[in-house]
Amino acid sequence: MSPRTKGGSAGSHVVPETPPILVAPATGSELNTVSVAIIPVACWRVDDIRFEFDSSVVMPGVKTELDELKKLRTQHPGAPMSVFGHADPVGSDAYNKALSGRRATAIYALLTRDTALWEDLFSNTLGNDRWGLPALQTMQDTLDAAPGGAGRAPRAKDAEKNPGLRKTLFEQYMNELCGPDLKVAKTDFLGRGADAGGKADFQGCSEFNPVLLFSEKEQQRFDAATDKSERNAANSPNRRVMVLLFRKGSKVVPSKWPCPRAKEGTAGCEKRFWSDGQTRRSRRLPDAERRFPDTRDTFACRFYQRLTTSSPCEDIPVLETAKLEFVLDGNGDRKIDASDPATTFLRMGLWDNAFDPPPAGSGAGAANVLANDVAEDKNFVGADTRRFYLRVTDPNASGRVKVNWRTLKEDNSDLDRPGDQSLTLLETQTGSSVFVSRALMLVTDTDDQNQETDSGLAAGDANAGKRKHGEADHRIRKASLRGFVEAEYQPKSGPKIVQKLPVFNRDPDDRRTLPLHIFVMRRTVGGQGVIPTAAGSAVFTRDLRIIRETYERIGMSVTTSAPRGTAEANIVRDGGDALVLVDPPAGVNSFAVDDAAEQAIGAATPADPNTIRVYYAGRLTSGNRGEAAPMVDFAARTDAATAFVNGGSFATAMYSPAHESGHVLTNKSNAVNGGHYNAPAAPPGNKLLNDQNLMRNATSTSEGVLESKRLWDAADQDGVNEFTSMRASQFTRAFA
Amino acid sequence: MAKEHTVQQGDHMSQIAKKYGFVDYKTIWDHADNAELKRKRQNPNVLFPGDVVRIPDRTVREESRPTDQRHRFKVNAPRLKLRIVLEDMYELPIAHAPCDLFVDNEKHELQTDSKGKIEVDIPPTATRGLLSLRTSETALDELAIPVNIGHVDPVDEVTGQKGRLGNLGYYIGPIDATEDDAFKLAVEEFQCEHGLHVDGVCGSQTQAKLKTVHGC
Repeated sequence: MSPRTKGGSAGSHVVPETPPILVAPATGSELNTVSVAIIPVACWRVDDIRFEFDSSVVMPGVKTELDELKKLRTQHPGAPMSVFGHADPVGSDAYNKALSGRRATAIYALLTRDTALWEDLFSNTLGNDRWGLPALQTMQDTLDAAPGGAGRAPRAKDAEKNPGLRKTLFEQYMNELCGPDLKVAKTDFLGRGADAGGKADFQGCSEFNPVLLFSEKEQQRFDAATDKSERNAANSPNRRVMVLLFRKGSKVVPSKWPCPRAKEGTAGCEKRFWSDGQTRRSRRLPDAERRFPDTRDTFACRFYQRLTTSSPCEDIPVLETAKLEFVLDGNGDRKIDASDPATTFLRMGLWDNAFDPPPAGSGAGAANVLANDVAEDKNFVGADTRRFYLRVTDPNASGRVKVNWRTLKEDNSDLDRPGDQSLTLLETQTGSSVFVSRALMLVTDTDDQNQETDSGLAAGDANAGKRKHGEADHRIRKASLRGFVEAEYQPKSGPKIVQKLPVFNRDPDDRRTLPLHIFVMRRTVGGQGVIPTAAGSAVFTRDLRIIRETYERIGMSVTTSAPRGTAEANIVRDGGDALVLVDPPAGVNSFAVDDAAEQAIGAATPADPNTIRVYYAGRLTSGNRGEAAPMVDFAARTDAATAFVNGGSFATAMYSPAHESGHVLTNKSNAVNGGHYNAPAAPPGNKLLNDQNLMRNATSTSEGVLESKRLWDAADQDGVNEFTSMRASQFTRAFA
Repeated sequence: MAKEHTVQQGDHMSQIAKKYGFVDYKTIWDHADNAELKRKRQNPNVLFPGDVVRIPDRTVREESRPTDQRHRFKVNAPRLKLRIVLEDMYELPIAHAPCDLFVDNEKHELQTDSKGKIEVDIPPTATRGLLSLRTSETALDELAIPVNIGHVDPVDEVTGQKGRLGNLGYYIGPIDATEDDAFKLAVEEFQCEHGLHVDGVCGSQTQAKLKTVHGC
């Protein structure tokens, strides 16, 4: 009888169409007067979810309900209609009268294809009901997504400024929603379009006729809450637009119709209230809700109740809840849908498919380029093996939804909370109710964080093209190994949904720690360090930072300490970090450190168990910017598991400490490509280039996204996988 | 010995008279035994189920005529009429509208007058009719509207109020004695439309107005 759809319901009224006439026969002059009753025969309801929140913008999902209306009109041919908008009890009667009138107007205009009425709603705002660009974007998206419709509708941005294009966009959107078969003339309404303000054709009932009144207890809880979204969600059944179909031939005189026009105030409504109307619409029970379908006594307007008293459409829809998930690309097709798996943790981006060799003809020495196209497979975020996505499942939304996302520190304070955190999620296909983002990525350093990303949105979209950090649809957030990623979605109805995931798995804890000793040689015994060592100097703020940023990418947290027993006088502390100043051993010149000297230094400064030692020497006689002694080659020596950095190259050797430590971690023999990364022989599409890898021979001399700072989770040509080998190193340990 | 008749729904005095062999309902209605009933109900065609009508003994009336001739006797029975006024939602007449009224399978082709009125003579035994309009250009067109004769109850009874409010388009629902919300709604709507104090109680003032507007 009453087909429930996602965003409304439709049905025939159970009243007899022809109640009998009762007559007294007359032996005198008596009469029996019979007046034509106004009897609705069917109803069609559009729920709140088919509108933007607090707005009269009709969402594309209403197509489903319009199909039902079409059927209903076939079942009840010639039945004139009237549209009744309803608001919830939040806000003033007057505001709600206007808002409910606007929603009724929007539906009436949609059915009659009256673009002028929509234009009126567009150009005259009411409170939060501002159509603006987002409304036009919704229309354009819907039309673009229609079969064969891509690019045919006026662009939202153009239509925003041009009334002519706007009219076209309105018209196309109305036609798209109603389809070719649902055509309603103004004369198909109760007032037959005779009144310019739509009297008897469409009207707003303000908040006078709620179907649901919270209990006192609920109301108190909602009043106390700062976040009103739960209250607003619970109230959504009250926000509805009802269209009643009356007996064929029903005719009213607009001027005598009791309901005021959509744009008029509430005075006309109040005249038609029940004698106890105020009580009916506002009385609350201590513990239980009052529901119109149960007791039929919650409407203030007697006239409206006369029309709907037996309506199957004045029921209360069961609210379907929305879902927000982080998901991974389960089948690697770079297309997310309902079947891709949700994840319980996220990892840092590796940029392992990010770089393309310079285009042909770029000349010698040309740099690799960052793939940053609109297509996912040609985009460094979309192609990253650590990419993840956001997915919203919301039966009450259509077209696109917005999700805000940010990162948190270990203590849940904000880490990366850009000015605009929003991300556009598009419906996988019309009606799927599944909305997915483009691929997203976490990074550890500021250069990566500030890399602009193509939004992945199609040309013509308001947010198409390159997006900067701080702008909507930027796809990168800087994250902490110890922190979290948080996303939030506000459904049109229902409380805000928040999803918070840790960075790297915590159960079991997938994170590792990497303890380091950092030594700076004194120029001479008891003298200054070969490089500046004060707290806040570059050894801390640059080199140690880079080490941290590097290894956090693969789930390793770097700690520094002085070896046990180190005299406090030799320790320089900077926050929780420490470095140790060491005298050159006898016979060693801090500015001429050779292999023998390294062993002497190593012997003089023993390490705590399984801890890598990083030394800054004044100068390495080899001329190298750095040298390392991985266990595979040097296990027997006193300088096993050490890394030496050439202080003479300090200004440009910012990646050297991370690189040399990396030798110890990968433990790749010097005999195999110098222990360095060896890009796999390039099969087509292989992007694991040498240039951007931290373990290449000769690291970069400046910082940047294209520089040699990446570690990849793939075997190089020599079969060494940096991600797995480093994490499995004896010098790392379970997270603490 | 006098009999008693207990009124059932649909009964009216002419029909009761006919049933007990009286030509003129007034013989019963004006009988001293029914003075109390007459005072209470006022209208012989608007009785209430349960009302008790005392049926007087029939009397023999003698008329002398010569026996060798044929004589025609004319009984002066009062005529019983069915009278309906059709109005639109705003109490304006549906004037000059052709309509068909079937009473006990007899078809009357009628047309409403300028005041929306139709009127036909009906036999006292008639209980049901069917009214149909074709070109009134109202929601009544093409419907076969049942007409229940003798079903109007006294206006001081809830069923009588519901019946009248139903005829006038305010009440839809069963004609019973329950003073439910649907009834209250109809009463308030009627009061509101007729400038009465709106309280949902069908008191004497509202009853009087209802009787006037309905016509009986």
